[in-house]
Amino acid sequence: MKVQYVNSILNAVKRVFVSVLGMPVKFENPYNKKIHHPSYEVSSIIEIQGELTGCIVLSYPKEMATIVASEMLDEKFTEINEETVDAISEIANMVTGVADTELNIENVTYSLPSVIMTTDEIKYSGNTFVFSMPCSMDSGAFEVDIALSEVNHT
Amino acid sequence: MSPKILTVDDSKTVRTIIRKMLSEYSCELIEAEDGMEGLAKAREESPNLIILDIDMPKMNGLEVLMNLRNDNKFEKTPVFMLTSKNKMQNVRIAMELGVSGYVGKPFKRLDLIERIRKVLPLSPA
Repeated sequence: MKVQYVNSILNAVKRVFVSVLGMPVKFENPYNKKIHHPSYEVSSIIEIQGELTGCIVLSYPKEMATIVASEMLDEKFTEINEETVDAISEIANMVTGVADTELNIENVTYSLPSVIMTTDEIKYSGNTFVFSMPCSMDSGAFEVDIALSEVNHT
Repeated sequence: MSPKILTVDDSKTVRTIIRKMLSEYSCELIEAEDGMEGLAKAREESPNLIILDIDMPKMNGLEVLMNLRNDNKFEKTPVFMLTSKNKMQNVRIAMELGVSGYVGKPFKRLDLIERIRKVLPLSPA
């Protein structure tokens, strides 16, 4: 997995969180996630296909997910419901959009985000190497998992 | 008479954000959650401005724009494309179809309001 993919996605996370939520993001110590499961209970997953394949997962503790939705919609949410799921989904959409613009790789398609609520092991498509970046903000933590590889045309 | 603004986006979150941004201004807000509904509402309501997402189910924003521009009624209606994917090919297609402007997601409230003000008078509610 090329470092430019990781950098573009992480830059996009920072940019979206600051622009949309007014929340600066701090990156902690990245690691290789050997067991493929989201670290927190609420995750948005975007599958990528084409010249790049894999997925990007943004994973939040429940409380953090409600905080993100509350900031985005300027309304107080205390539970996971249709509106908080849509907000989390839209954040993921924006992150991949910003990353895609920066990467500018032709023939890459992004799925609509799916939001899941589990910390069980799930199948991360694409590369078996999963780059995980724990993130922190004043209001709490979340994590970004990136599993991407280029299609081999040989 | 207050201007009519139609937002066409499959994300309820984005529609809510735009609605809240524009709630401070005197305007009538109409919403649609996919391209086909957006086209139907445009024909029904004759908005003064259309804010249109690109990636949507049933009919994407570029197809909606093409249909609008092929209709004499909407030849001159300002249309802003709202998208998180600012790929050059989309920008090029939209420009050829006569888009009035592009608003990339994430967008700031002031950016959107300023752009709207260039094509439509917006007075405080």
